[in-house]
Amino acid sequence: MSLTRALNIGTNGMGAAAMGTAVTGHNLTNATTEGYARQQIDQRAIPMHMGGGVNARQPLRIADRYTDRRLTNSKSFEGEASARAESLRVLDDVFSEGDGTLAHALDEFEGAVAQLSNDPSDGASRIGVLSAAGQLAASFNGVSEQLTNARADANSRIDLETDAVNVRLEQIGALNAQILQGASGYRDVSTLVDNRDQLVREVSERVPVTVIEGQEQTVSLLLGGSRSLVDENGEVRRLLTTVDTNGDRVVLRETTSGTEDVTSLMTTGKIAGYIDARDTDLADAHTALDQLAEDMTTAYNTVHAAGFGLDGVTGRNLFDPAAAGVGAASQMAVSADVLGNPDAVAAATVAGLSGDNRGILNLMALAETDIAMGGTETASGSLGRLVGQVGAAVKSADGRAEHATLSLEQAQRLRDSVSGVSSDEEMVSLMRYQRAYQASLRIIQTADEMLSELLNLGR
Amino acid sequence: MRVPDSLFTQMSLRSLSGRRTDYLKAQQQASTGLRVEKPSDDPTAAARARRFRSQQKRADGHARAIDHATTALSAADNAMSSASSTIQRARELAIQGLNDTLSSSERQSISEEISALREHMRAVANTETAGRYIFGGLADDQPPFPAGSNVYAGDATEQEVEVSPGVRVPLGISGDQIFSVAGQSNVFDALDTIITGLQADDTTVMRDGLDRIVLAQDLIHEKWSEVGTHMTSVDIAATVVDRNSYSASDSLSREIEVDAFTAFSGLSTAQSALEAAVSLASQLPPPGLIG
Repeated sequence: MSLTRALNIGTNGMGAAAMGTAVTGHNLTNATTEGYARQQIDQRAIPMHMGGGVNARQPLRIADRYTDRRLTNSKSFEGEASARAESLRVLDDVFSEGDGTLAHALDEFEGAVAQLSNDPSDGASRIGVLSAAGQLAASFNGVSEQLTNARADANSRIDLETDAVNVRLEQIGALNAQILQGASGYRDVSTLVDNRDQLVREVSERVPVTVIEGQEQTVSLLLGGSRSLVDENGEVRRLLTTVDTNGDRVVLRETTSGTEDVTSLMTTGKIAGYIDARDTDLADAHTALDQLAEDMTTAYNTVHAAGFGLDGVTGRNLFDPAAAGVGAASQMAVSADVLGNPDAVAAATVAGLSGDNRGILNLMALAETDIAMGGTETASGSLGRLVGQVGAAVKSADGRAEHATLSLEQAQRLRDSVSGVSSDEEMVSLMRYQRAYQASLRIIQTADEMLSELLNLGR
Repeated sequence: MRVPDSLFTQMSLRSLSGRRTDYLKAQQQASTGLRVEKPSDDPTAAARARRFRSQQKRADGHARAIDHATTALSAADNAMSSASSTIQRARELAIQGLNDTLSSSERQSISEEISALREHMRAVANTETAGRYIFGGLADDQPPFPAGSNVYAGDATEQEVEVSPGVRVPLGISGDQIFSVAGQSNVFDALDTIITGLQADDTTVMRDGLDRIVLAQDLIHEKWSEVGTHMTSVDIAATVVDRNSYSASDSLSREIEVDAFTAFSGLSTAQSALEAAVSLASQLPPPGLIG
């Protein structure tokens, strides 16, 4: 009978409006939830021949594959740029000027040598030279140590981030399984999908991932587009780190038969940022520092050994001889030949003349001689070039990180424009559903009155 | 494009954070007066600054050498002046002694006076300043003319210092160029000769002594003016070094400093921008259907 049908239509209309209100409420209360994608009721008309009215099905999750993907990629870029910039910060500190810096120690050393040339037999000036030489060596040691620490830092962060990725991979795997189950049980998996997508973004912050859609809103993650990390059934291939011959971290991935090296796939993401900083700018700066230490040690030793101390002895080193390139800065030290023995400082070019300062004048001349960078720069000039080099590296890294942040924000805005909640929109929806509810009530009321009249006919 | 709620939050956060960073930077510049503190602030300026600092330090070193040279050369100058007046007095006495009208005892007393002058000359030749025997060449730790010897015991090379880039100046003149010049003159022998002649009443010897004294005197004057030349070189170096020092300081300032006016107007601009961002942010959220 049509009236019963009308009653049913009113009822399911009320149901739909109630559902709509609930979903609107869900959106409003989750407006600030991170990673939340807004939902809309999926309202379909029921054909009249099947009863009529409206059917409100599982709410739709409003998301767009393109904007989600773009956000994921932006996170990788931002992760890499910020990790790199953070790792290079140390360079800005150790190569600046001022008290306690290498630059200052270099100036003081050259000054002490010049000072001794005024009075080669003066004990205080001789002590001054040894003291300044010691300070110079200590400064080289200090900068070298800080660079070594920065490298160790980068390596331990690679460990940390790899662990962080694995934790999330496991969670994504579990969620994939739950989503499949939920879909088969016709339950609402939207929240599970939100959580899963949030985790995917967190993974992409650290390593480059390609997201492949699987069945029923599951995803598989591929590292760098080719190596499986999580598949749609929830199977996980974790990452691990191991140490190479230089003590640096290398990233591996579990395979069915063991592990494989995936370091070369780290093209973006935080881990890539740490690897890059460690292997390029930090390593380059350390190499240049070692080279300068070696050049100075060799040049000053050659001149000093040709000179004579107050005791008439020649052939003494000023610094411990450099050990072939590697670690020259960390090992630099005043030689035992002269340490604690100011008279041993070779100020003279022949034995026995107390006023002979020709040896010191020769040492003094080294400050203006091109002893560094393959004979093209003075020591100070070489340091200046190194300062310019690291300054440019840090500045460029900072600029890139800034750019990456802007890019990320833009991608976030784009994604939010699709999936983000707009309170005004929801308020309008509330009003609409309220109206719809009122209308449905009216239908029921009207149908009810009509039924009553019909029943009264029989009296 | 849909405008979700998050857009407003994000934009005002970004704006606030950006203006705050700018403000901090402006504040730092205004308080230190430095535009470049770290290499990344301006890499090329930082690299150049290192060069200028190095030049500045070098100029400081030269300034110290100049002071030292000035002291040493002044001492040499005074000593030469004393040597000059001593030899002049000896010459006068020698001429006096040659006068035929003098008695033996008068000649005797002149010879005693010249003896005293000879010892004074030895003392001048052995002048010691700040622990250095200034006429000893590089062997400056012992007297160049030990007691009882007319032979130069010092070294033939003078000590030099660098007073300006690439310019070295001797701190004195070695005794073997003034008081005892091989094959030319020995002032002590000259004085000994006149003393001998006076004591023996031998005018031939006396004449020989006088000739030698004149030779010695010429040499002293010649070397005295050489000291003067070195002092002039040091003065010139002082001008050069002053200029180098100023130039290095000036260049350094221009690379890394910011003038007070620019810094403070930058600070006030940054402050206004920050205040604007704060006031905008406090108007969040924009008018809407809720509330």
